[in-house]
This record gives sequence, structure tokens and C-alpha cells, in this order.
Amino acid sequence: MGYRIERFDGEHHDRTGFRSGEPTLDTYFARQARQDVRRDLNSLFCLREDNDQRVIGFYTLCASSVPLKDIPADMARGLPSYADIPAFLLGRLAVDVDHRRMGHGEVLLFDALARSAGSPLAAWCVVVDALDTAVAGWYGRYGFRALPHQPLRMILPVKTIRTLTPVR
Amino acid sequence: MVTDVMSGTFLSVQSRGTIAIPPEVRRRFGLDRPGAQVELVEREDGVIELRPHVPMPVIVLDAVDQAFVADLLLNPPEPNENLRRASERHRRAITRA
Repeated sequence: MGYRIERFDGEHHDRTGFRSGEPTLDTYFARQARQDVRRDLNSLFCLREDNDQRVIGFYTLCASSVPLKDIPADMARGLPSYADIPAFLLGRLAVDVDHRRMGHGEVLLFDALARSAGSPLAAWCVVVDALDTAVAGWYGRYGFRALPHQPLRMILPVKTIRTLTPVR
Repeated sequence: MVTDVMSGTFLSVQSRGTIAIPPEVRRRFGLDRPGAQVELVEREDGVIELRPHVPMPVIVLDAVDQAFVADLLLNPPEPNENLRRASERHRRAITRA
């Protein structure tokens, strides 16, 4: 059985039965996601089986920036001389409860990372805001590093991802 | 430890249910931008959360976190085994359009 990950298409993708078990994600997907896509606030990508339009997982991705204006001068060498550097924000990622423990989460995660690293838009890192410490632990298993003062905000450099994806 | 967090601030609920988010918080989370929204989440433990939704999310870091990010970007780690496995699983599972 094959799977596809595609940009959300409200005309074709069936999200009516989707339930991740996390109310904030389910509410977002059911009520807000389509509006965000229409308003160009987020890109929404859905996982489905080849011959089935039912959504079994999704993630959102958008451009963001990370401030680096307060770093010491000696550390700034090798970094762009701008106050902010471009980044991608992996805002939400969820898998339907009936499709758990099948590896779909890490497939969605890697798709988001590969899409970020391969984007024509330049970025230095991918940022995630984990919902809680358990989710942060999950991202940590894939190499995301938690910020010292915001442990639920996590970073993975694009250079780390590029070693596993084709050079753009 | 989390810095720059406002807590213990009481907001009056007006007659039609409206509340005013303090200007400093609106600015910090980009809620003063056109198109910004907040998502209201009623949790089972009785807490009401307001989650910012803005056209371009604002990431605010203090100096310590900025230094951490800078060091990470200058010294990107090699992908670990889990990330390599995810890459391989993705390659096998996903049908190309």
C-alpha cells in the first residue's frame, strides 16, 4: 500500500472523520485550517492512502524568522549580518488515532523537513512549538534541540536535514 | 525557566464578553498585525487558553536562547539514527505524484 502527502484540497480530501485525540489539533483541522490556507497564513499538507481521500495525518508549515540580534560579536561570525534569520515553522502535526503506531508521524515529520530543506525559499532552521513535554520528547528523538529558556520551542538546522535530502 | 511571560494579570470581561489583551502582549505575539486571531481553548482542567494565530508567527528569544540557536546553526549536528530511519521510511512509503 502506498501513501501520498499532498497540499490540502478542500474539494477532494475527506477530513470529516479525522480525530487525533488532541482537541486543539482536531479543532484546528476541522474549523480553522481551511480558512488559514485560503488566507495564505499556513500551508497544510495531508497524508492519505493512494486510493482513499480520507486524511490520516497532516502538518502545517509556514515561513517565520528567528531573532539573532543579541548574540555576542565573536559568535556572529559565520552567521548572516541580519537581526533575524529565515526559518520554517512546523506549526502542527497530527495523525488519526486509528492509524497510530504505523510510523505515519515520522513520515509526516520527515516530509515537512525535506520540504523545508528543499524549498526555493531560503531558511536556516525548522522550528517546532511542542504542545507539551511528551511531544517535545518525540521531536527530540529526531534531533530537535530544546531552547534553554523555552523548552517546548525546538530547533533543527536545515544543514542537518540536507545531508538526507537531495541538494536543491 | 521561561522569561518575559506575563502572569497573574487580571482582565475585565466586558458586558458582551470582550476582553482586552494588554498592548505589550499583543505586540510581543504579533497580535497587533492585520489578520491576527486568537484561538480559545477550553481545557478539561478548567483553564482557558488563548493561542495566538498571526499571519507570520513571531518568534521571540532572549539572549541566552539566541546564543543557543546561533551555536546550533554554526555547528549543525549530524542526523541521528531516528531521523535517518524517518528518511528511509518516507522514501519507501510515499508515492510520488
